[in-house]
Amino acid sequence: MNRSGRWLVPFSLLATLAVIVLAVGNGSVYVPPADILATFGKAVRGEALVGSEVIVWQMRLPRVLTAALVGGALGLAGAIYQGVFRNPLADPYLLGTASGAGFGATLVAAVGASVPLLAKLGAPLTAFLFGLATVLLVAALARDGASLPTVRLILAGVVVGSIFTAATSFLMVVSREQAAGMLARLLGGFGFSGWPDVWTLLAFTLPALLLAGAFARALDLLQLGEEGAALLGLPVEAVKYLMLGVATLTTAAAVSVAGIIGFVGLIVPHAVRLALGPGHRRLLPLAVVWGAGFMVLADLLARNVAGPVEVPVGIVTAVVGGPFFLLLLKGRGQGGAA
Amino acid sequence: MSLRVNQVSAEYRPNGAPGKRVLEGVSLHLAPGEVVGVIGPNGAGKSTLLRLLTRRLEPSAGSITLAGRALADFGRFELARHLALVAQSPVLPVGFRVAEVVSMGRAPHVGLFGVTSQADRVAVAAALEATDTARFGARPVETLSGGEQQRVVFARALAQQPRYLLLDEPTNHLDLRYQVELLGYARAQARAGVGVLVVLHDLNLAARTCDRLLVLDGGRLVAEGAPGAVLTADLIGSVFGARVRVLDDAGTPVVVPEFGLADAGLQSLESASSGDGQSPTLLEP
Repeated sequence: MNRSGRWLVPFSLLATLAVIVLAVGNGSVYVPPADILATFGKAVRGEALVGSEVIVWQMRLPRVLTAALVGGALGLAGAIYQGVFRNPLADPYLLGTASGAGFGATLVAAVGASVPLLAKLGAPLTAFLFGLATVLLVAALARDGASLPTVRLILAGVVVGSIFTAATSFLMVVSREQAAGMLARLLGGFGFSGWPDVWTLLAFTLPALLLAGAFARALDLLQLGEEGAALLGLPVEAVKYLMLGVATLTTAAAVSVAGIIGFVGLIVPHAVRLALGPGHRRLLPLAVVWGAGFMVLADLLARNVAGPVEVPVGIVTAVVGGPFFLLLLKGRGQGGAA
Repeated sequence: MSLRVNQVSAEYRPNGAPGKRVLEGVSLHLAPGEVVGVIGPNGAGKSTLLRLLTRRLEPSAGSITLAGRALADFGRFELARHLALVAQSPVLPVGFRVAEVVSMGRAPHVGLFGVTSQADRVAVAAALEATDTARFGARPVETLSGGEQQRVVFARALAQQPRYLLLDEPTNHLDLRYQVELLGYARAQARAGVGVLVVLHDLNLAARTCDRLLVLDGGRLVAEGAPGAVLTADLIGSVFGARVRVLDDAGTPVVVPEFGLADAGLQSLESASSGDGQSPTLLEP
């Protein structure tokens, strides 16, 4: 009854760790896995680092870990959005949440210095507030009576997202001197990532995963429709809004650190569902693990595909993600009858 | 221990405007172990009655009690441990396996953060067994036929281990075999002590399935009693506006529709023969 899921969780974790070690080793100077692990040990013990150890610890490891955490956050956010809206096309990008959060983060970068409130909130929390406003607005616009039709949800998400994207562009134009840095961040990438980003992401994503995990059964029940779930005693509205808040929080953390990266929140939960079924107790943790592995691989590709030039990782996720998704869909069609 | 509805009225209020009354002073009781049918034409208030019983609608007047306690006093999960509804067109969660869907019926017992126990597994197994769905257990629900899916929905309601089972036109869209099967499962539950309230359109299925029938018309309860007493040509003519003959099949009335026969003499003759000396308890409007 448990599909072949028992081995998939530890295997996925190991595979993702292997990908992380591989990605840390990759660069202008190759560092073998043994040296990476040795460096990690030295740094944790507080010993002095020398030569390539400094590169590994100060540059590569935070970058790769940031990528992993952003991928995990987006995978989790997508899984939750899809569960709450009972809609396989809901994801941070299509719902406009990422654009709303991007606007919030940009707002802090552009005018944070002169607006004390924004400076106090910081980029991730401001991004969260705008992301939350976006998802509530989109859901309100898309609602048709008691139902939330897919097409309306996506249309509303795309339109509201476009408005926020336009507003973000406006902010960049008027604050010319910081524009380059802001744009680079928003395009999506890990070129500027450091340890503070890792801690920010951990602080947002870990509690989000634990909270969402605690509500995994409730998310399963929501798949019976709001009425069906309510008939089984579920406090539907409370669960829905709490979970939207959690998903938006992780989206905001990801966007404020790494900009807007599409497709991950859409593809990763889909892939997990195809492999393991739709139960959220497996889906949520594996969406994090697969999201992390996927993003690290995408970043690895972004760093290497065009020689010394780094391609924005969002391009890689779109180009790799699209066909990957189609392939999974096709595989399901053939194996579905068995 | 019974489910009681006392002089309940209900209205729908779109945008807070003075609402349209859809139920007016309806009273009924449902005891453990009995199967009570609710019949009546479209718009009579049958679904509204079920909405009231599952607390999806508040009565504008009157009270509903379960085992002597006001329905409104029950906690969400507590109510779902007492009452289970098989809805008219329930949503099936795509990708979930039959056994997973049925075990969702344990939610009221497990709670939001609880851990499933041996009792939960036993209840799920019993629900699968009682509906003959155990052999589909590992299949995704969307791969089943309509009749099989309805059995899964019924199994999920059984997994709730409710004292009262509410069925809202459970045989819609089912062919004869599945209709009979499903109502057979409902009767088996009643034998095990569950009170069953079933809304049905098919008068003959209702007559065969139910111990008592309630007739709703225009939001009012217009008749109540044993099927043989309630299902008369006169009552069906006045409530449904349809001309029928009622035959007697070993005590169970059989309703046969008539087409274009303006022979009032035939109709009254048949109704007299089927009444079997009993007169329907016609309630005051």
